[in-house]
Amino acid sequence: MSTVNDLDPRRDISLIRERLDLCLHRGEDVTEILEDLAQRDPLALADLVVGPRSQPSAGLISAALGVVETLEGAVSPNGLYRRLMDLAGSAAPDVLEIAAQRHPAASFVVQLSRQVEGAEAGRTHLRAAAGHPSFTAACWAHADAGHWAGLIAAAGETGLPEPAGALAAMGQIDRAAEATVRTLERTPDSPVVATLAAAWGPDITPILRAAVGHLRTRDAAHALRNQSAGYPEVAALLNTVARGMV
Amino acid sequence: MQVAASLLGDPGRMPFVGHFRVSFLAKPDGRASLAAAGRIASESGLVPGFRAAREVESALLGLCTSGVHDRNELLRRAWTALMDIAACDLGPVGGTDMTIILAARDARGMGIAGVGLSGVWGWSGDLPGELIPLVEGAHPLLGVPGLPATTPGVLTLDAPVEQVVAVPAHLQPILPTTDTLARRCGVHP
Repeated sequence: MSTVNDLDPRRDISLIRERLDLCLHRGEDVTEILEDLAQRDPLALADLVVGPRSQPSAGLISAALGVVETLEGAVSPNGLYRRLMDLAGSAAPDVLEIAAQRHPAASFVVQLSRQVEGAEAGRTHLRAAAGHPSFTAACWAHADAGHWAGLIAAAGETGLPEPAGALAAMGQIDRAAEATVRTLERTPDSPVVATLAAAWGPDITPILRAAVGHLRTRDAAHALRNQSAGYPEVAALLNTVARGMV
Repeated sequence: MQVAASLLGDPGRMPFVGHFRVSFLAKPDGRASLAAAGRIASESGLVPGFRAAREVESALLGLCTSGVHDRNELLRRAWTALMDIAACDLGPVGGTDMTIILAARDARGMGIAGVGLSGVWGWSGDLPGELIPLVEGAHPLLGVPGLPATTPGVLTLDAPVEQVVAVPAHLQPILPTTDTLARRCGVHP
């Protein structure tokens, strides 16, 4: 039973807001209150959490993420997550995580990523979108937005070839090369070289040459060499490099 | 004497699935040259397309050009090299989906051959960006894809061009603007 269950969500909304503020001021968890409101009046809940009178509060927004499905029924996800982000303070990464999990194909997640992750924008989104049909589109959207570091991080975390492909498609040779190596470190048989060729063009020699400088392990060198067999000059170079690695 | 060939990629994020491209001078004196660009197993997936494309490149780069000074001989050897590739190495449909443009040049002119094309243009190198159509209408160079069973005919150009650009048969014979053409063909300076 929440501390507001005796109040009417519409008529007593000011009083509910006061009680919420008091709880938050005391550092208390307001999840129970929000769950109660979610069951009784989703619109009142949305007004309290993301309405025009809502004040920034990491505690409130963290609790609101537990009833985010109800909030999405009252406010469109695009507007909802932007507003949640504006109010989230230190809970902003949690908002991004939930937005990315629930809407991996949504373009607004790309903008939220930049807001929260800065230089590493895209990392959370792409991790959440891995395995989703929208993953390729998400990689290209982050590449379009210039989120190079996030794509490289995602390559290493997912082992999927699309981040490297997206970087190549944008003409980011050295970054595509680094993403290629990180992909192979994670998943040696990920078809990353084929993806580079599909995205950039058949002669990917410049990217493969650049990748040599990013190699850190012999296993990755062997993986890259195996996939580069169709490029004899690079394959020969990689043979030499792999032999020299510990 | 060197000639370059390129093929327009598909629209979308992965325009060059199964694309290949090679160019080289005949040994030992480079008095003739060959360029090829094309696509194969492009509808069969990323990896089958990639493998088949590298097979085609390997076959063309490996063809014996020693002492070849004649463009038509170079083209004939190229077709033979392609026909000698085992069908199983050309993707799930064994090369029946191959699109290719071949351009060979020697001291006397230039020859162009191909399959699976809807349009072919040439650039003489005189005026930047000025591509001229090399074939029009129901020309034998334009037609359906697929590695032929016999050596196809050759379009002869008395005035050689430095580059040929082709559009595959499944796309409308329209080139993109010159500022994006190279990138759309997967060519990067």
